[in-house]
Amino acid sequence: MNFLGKLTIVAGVAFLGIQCIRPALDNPPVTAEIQAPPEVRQILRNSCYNCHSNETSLPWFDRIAPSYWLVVHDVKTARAHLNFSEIGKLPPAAQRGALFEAVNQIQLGDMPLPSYRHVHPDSTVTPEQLAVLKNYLDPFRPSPPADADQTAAVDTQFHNWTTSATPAPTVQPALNGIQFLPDYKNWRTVSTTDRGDNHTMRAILGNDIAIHAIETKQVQPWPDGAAFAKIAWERLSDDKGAVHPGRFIQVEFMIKDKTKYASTAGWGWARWRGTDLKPYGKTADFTGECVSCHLPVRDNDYVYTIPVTGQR
Amino acid sequence: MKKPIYVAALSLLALFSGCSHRTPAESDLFNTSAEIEASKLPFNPLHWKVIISGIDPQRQTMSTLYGNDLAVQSARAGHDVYPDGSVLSLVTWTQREDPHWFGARIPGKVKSVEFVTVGKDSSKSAYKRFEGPDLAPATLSDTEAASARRDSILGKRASVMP
Repeated sequence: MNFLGKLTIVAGVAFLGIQCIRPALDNPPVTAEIQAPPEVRQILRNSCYNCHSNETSLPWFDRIAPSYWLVVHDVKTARAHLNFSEIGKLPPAAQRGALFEAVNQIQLGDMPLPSYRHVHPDSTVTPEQLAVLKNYLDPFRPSPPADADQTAAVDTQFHNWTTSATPAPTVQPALNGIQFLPDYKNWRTVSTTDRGDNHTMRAILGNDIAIHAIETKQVQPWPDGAAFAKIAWERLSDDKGAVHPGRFIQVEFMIKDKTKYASTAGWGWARWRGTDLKPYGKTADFTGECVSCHLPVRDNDYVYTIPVTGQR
Repeated sequence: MKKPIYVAALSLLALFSGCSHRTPAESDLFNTSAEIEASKLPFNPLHWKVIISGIDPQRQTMSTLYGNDLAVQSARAGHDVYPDGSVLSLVTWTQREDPHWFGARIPGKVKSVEFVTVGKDSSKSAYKRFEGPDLAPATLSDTEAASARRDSILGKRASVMP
């Protein structure tokens, strides 16, 4: 037997051998399935449920190692992130947020995973199906005017903010060690956003390095030292229908350093919530949420914001 | 037995091809449509700090109020009256859908840029208005309308930024 023949046999035996390595993948009970109109659920069922639910059903070719291992890993990761069989136990705002993230990942071409779509072409969400999901979510439906409690909360925040010394000297660093940058409020404005999905208004500010990068159009990638602050306020309507910022919700930073933050896509991520500026999350792993949400815009160096030019 | 290997190889290939870099279009990197031609204005408000932003859902516009250092300091301290020398600028854009995020709207085209320059007596502050993407200086014959705009701008409270 020639060398090639021997190699084929060895490869064949190895291929059969690895079939015995079978990580478990079961379907836990469906406890709190998503509540949505049938046409919406049908799309989710067809395109998302195989990984993002407790009703996974693998075709024969997904059951063969080594692709089986990839599939098991993908399903477990997918369920941990978003599980349509258990989503009902989340607060309504978090459910809505998860659906918007899903629709945006579909729109940006990241979901279903391109690798999954290659072998399951039927899972691709068509433009018509995407329109059905968007119509269902309807982010800019008119919202009722702010109630007295919401207005009072803004007044209290404003009063406390203008009468106390800023910056608060006791701001703790984020759990990944990133320090709060109290000067963010004096940075220039990169853009503003009106967020119907989560009823917030946002301002995105940039430090001098970021602004210079915009002026000189050097953002592929953004230079080390560039930093953004994204500030979110509640989005409140008044009785005439005009919309104003309500309560301050949070401030988030992205700080570019391709070496220091190599493990988190080249950016340092941080978020402080409330006027007492409490660091977000329970462990330093919170950055995983930041990176996974920004992954669809990796070609834009992980930046969603489209900076307004003319800063010169 | 060739098909499973083929499938496995393909899924690996797809996994890696997902990591390749595509160069985004210029419009995905810069919002040039919302640019303000500052040479037509007495000041470039984008050089200033933000005081507050607002949205008019009926007109589908969004605006940001900027101020020079004097104005920003005063607004953030919660003072009711701006000191002499304060300049405020309200930039209003039409809104457009954010191509990167369904559920978000971002500045589209400039609709107007307004300036209020505060003198010794803030009730006599000067009001100037520039309209449209060309930022044509508007001549306001209706002084009542002008003073209403001026008062509205002077009456805006700063957003809380701890």
